[in-house]
Amino acid sequence: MRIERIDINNQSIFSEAVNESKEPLSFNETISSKGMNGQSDMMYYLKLQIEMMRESREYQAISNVLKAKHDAATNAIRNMR
Amino acid sequence: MDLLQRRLGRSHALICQGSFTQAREILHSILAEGDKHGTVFMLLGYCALAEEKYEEAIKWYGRGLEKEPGNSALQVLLGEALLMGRKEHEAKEILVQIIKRDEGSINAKLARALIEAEHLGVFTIRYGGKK
Repeated sequence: MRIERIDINNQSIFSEAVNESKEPLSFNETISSKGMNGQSDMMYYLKLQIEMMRESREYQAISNVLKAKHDAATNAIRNMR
Repeated sequence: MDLLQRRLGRSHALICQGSFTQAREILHSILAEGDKHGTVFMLLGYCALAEEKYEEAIKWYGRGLEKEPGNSALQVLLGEALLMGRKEHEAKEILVQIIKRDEGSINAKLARALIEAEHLGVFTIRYGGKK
């Protein structure tokens, strides 16, 4: 799992916690697992949240590029002489 | 708006719809008529880039810049093509130059958005991990 540039104050703690674990369990696996405690549940949701934040940033970045690109092309056509 | 602008606008709309062949037909017909405006090359490059033909896109943008060396839109789109063709160093040089020169312009916004996206690794994800 690749986690980069997370704007949380204790970033290093979260990054280590995420990197040392394997693939995140599914919701059902997490709920049904024996021996799961509150801490591991919390870790699972934390990982999920971090992944969602990363995805959201990436979609936002793509959206910004596509909009800016469209505007740049439209502007170039409009300002032709 | 003159006829050339209308045709270019139409080809841009076709590219946005994914109708690259039709867009190319219009653009090549404009070139055949002898109207070698930088924007025509820009849209041909745009078309190639949308089809992930990076080298072809770089070639079209280069030809556009031969006609109009100071065209920022062509420069920034060339930067995008270079980024996608995994020539990050050259791309960043061009994009940073545009941000410094045209701060606040539409082209500088695109340059900034491209650098941010590259930093997040978006191009690697979007184009199937080609790095």
